[in-house]
Amino acid sequence: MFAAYLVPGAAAWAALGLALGVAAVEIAWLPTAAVVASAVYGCAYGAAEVGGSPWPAAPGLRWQVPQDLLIGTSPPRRVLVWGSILGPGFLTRNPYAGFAILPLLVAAVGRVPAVVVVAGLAGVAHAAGRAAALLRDSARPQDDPFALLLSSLRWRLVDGLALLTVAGAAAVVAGFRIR
Amino acid sequence: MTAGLDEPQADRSAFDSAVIRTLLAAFALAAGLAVAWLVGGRVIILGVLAVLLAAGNGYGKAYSP
Repeated sequence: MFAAYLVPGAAAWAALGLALGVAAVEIAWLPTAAVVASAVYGCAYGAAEVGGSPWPAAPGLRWQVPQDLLIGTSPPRRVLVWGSILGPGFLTRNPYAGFAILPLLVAAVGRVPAVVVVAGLAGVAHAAGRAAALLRDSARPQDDPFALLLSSLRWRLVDGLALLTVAGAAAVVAGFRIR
Repeated sequence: MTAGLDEPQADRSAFDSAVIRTLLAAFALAAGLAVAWLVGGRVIILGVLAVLLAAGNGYGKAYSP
């Protein structure tokens, strides 16, 4: 099951990394702009998530995997569909703003080989986290909706704190680059 | 009454929560500044943070209702 998530996660993110790396070769100021944008985005969304503000909503798609894509399919095919869509994480709704900063951080790295490696590792990390959470959930009874909502709010706080950490780091990196 | 608390208790609880969140936010920001400063502002620190953030985001997404 891990492979069904990890392989698409790594491939999709590495492809994104290659595109961003090539773009950075053509547009010299792109990595510096990505560092500055990471600092601004991290501060804005981090403060909103830590403060518990419902606005602004995390950027991204609202799409969810439709049931009819899975009904009547064999278990291996179902895992493959889930893994291909949820592993990379681009297509489905994500309630945490931490996901949308990832392409900015990848673009900030700059040089093509490093960007591809970092993007591939980010894809593997996201897919592994997603698969681990699914394995965790399948091994225990499902939480009631209220408990799930409380857990989601706690994760939103953690995500906001992580965004602020990233924003602080990006501000320092931007300072070193621009001076 | 809110969740078994009277109004002054609920106000105090909300204030405590806001103070704790503000302190945590300041600590998180300072931690990011310090770590990036310690590595001399090298951009790879953002790559490392991206990988950690991606792992946490993937794991935490399972909690979204």
